[in-house]
Amino acid sequence: MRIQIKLKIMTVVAIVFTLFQPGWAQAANLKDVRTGKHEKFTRVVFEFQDNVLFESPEIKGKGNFSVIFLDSSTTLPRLTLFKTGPIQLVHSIELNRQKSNLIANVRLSFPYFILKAFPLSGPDRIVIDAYQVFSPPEKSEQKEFLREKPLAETSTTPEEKELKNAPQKVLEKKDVNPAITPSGAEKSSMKDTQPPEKVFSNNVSNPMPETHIESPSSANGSAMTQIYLLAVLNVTTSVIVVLMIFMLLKKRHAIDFAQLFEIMEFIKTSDESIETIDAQLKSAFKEYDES
Amino acid sequence: MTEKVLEEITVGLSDAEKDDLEEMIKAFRKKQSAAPETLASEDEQRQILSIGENLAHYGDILLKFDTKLKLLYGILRLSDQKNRIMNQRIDAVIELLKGQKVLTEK
Repeated sequence: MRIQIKLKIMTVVAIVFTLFQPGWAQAANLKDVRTGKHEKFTRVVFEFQDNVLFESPEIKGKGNFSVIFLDSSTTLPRLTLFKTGPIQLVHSIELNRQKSNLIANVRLSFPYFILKAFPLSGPDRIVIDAYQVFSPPEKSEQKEFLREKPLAETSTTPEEKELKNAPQKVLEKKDVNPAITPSGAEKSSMKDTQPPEKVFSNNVSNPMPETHIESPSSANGSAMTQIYLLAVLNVTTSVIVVLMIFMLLKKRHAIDFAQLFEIMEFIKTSDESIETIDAQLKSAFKEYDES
Repeated sequence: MTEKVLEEITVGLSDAEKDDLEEMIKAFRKKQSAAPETLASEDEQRQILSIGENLAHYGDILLKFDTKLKLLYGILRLSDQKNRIMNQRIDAVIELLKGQKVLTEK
């Protein structure tokens, strides 16, 4: 019975430890989302704490697209609405958790567009550029990708890098909107330096100020610290509870043993008393018989 | 409490009574051996002697019964004492078994 109880306790402890172990440290954490209006495209930048894998963004309808980030999470608000205007063409960004993946649904204020997505590192970012077009793009256009070698990272700030990289993207397609068709020279010059990207169109653009929708990285860091501290606190609590249970069981055993020893001591002393009484009885009977 | 009550019980003759009885027996036996002082008929004298003998004899029997009664009382007390200790031992063992049973059920 006791062994079963102990086994149950150990199982619970093991489950608790297992639940607290999983990959918080491994999942990429989305810590910032920025949007920016450029001359030819609207840029959405997802900044992660670690390197992240993502599936190619999908256009979900008029003015909507979504992108899936694999094995990632976030502490950002689920839905962020923007006040749209001439320099803000992103209407809303919704972040949904699906199992271990994170899905970002972006709603733009213009219905038709083509997308280009590419990752950047230092810090790890996924950049998605939406090029506005005036007619719905064909399916085949959306499926085509331009694969180029990653650009060597420099020590510039993320915003600088994004701005530096963005104008150099090369369009492979010929039949998209002329406004966003790049020149052949640009294409050849950038083929060796671009990161792998999924492109529909590109062009040199004048960057506009980007809008941050989220808490600063220090706040994100403190949130992560809080999560880790919470995990540590939970583990510590579990350990304390288990120790208390063991101590209670030990105390119970100690009480039992004390009682047992008391009874054994009594039996021992009563044995001696009985022996004495027996001897007295023996002599009394003898005396009685003799009298 | 019970032991105190038992100790207070006086069984048989007290020492003083016993001494008196022994003195009386001795006196009867002494009178038997001594010559009659008063003039009485032979029958009366025989009757008195016989009564004296009987009294001395019954006195002896009473003393023996008293001794045996006291010894028997001592035996009874010792037996009672032993019974009490044995009962306490049985109770302790039952308690121990009950405790073990409770722990096993838990």
